[in-house]
Amino acid sequence: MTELSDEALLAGMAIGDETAAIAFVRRYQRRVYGLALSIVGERRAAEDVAQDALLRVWRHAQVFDPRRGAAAVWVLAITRNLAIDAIRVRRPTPLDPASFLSLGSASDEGVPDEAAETIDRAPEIREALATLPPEQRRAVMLAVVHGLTAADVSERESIPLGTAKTRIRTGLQRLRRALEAQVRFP
Amino acid sequence: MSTVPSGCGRLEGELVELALGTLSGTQRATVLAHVQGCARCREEVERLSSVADAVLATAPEAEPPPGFELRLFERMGLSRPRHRWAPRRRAARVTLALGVVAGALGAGLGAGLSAASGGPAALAAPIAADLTAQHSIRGEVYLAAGSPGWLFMSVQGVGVTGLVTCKVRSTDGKTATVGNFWIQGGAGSWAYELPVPAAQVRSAWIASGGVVLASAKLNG
Repeated sequence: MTELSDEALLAGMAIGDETAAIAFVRRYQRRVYGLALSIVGERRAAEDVAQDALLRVWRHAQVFDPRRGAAAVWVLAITRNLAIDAIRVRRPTPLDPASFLSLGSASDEGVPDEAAETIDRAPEIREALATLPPEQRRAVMLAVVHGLTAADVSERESIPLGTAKTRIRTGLQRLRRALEAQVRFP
Repeated sequence: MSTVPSGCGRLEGELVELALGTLSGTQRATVLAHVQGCARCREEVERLSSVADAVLATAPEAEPPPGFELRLFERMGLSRPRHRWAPRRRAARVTLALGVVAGALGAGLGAGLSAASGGPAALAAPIAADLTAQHSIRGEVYLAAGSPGWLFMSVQGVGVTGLVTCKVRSTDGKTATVGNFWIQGGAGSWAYELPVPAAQVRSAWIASGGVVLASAKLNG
């Protein structure tokens, strides 16, 4: 038997099980803090974001619906959204998206199978990101990680709106093809 | 190369932003209305969303500052844990399973709970069994007596992603469906109320497309 899945822990958290909550926090705190730090770029702010994200998971575990995606995706999306809110208040210009790729790599150590499935794609995604033209990679990272709209990317990169849209779309499509060459998406 | 139908080409950029969640309210409503009626665009959005999720999953890990955990647990209102949780111990899993079931009774998790549902004190000792397939363990099943009784099932390694049906057979030979549940990468877990008394459940299993993926014998 392997350890309980993320979904089982979230089910426990949904009804206030402290043991489940502690296990979940210990499983995710490094990833949540790492994502927050890579977006906000400052340790104190990153801790605030990471704490708020995990607190939100604890308080709203009952609304998690595993039919809509893996727990890891849900938790990281919460973290990303809180980090984006934080930098909108604190920092008018987002951190350089290149920092996301240069800080290190995600690890699947101690992560159960279904979360690991998402993480397992990380090396392939990193490899595929590295093959994108720099301007496409920046546009993708600004849109996906930093939550910028195409109009925001256009303004930040000083390029026409249509060009920003094309860079984001083309970059994502290239990534998709690179991943599909290895694993079929569900 | 795009997979969006040529007639939908004008929405290509908007599909990307819909997948990324960066569309404004009005635009979002317009694009959603189209996507709901266009299977190929819907599939395109789902694929782009999967890519975006995968990009987010490349986030680097980092060690939180000292005291992070304790500060968080205080905010969560948790008592300070003295020991690391030992999830591989069956006793710990039984406790959690009972916690899920008992808490679900109290908190109303799932459908159709009656106000007269018992709390933890009303629960009898759980009935537990391994979930197996081809003589290999694929998970565990716990049943908790009560009104209604509860089933907790944890499964992994069954090699499918998608909806599975969880069923039980009672001692009178009748089959009842517990519910349909999502399995991701061959693994999933759920707690749900039993359609028959826990003491009468003879076996439980999950199936996909009429094929039994794993099963467990219960109550002797």
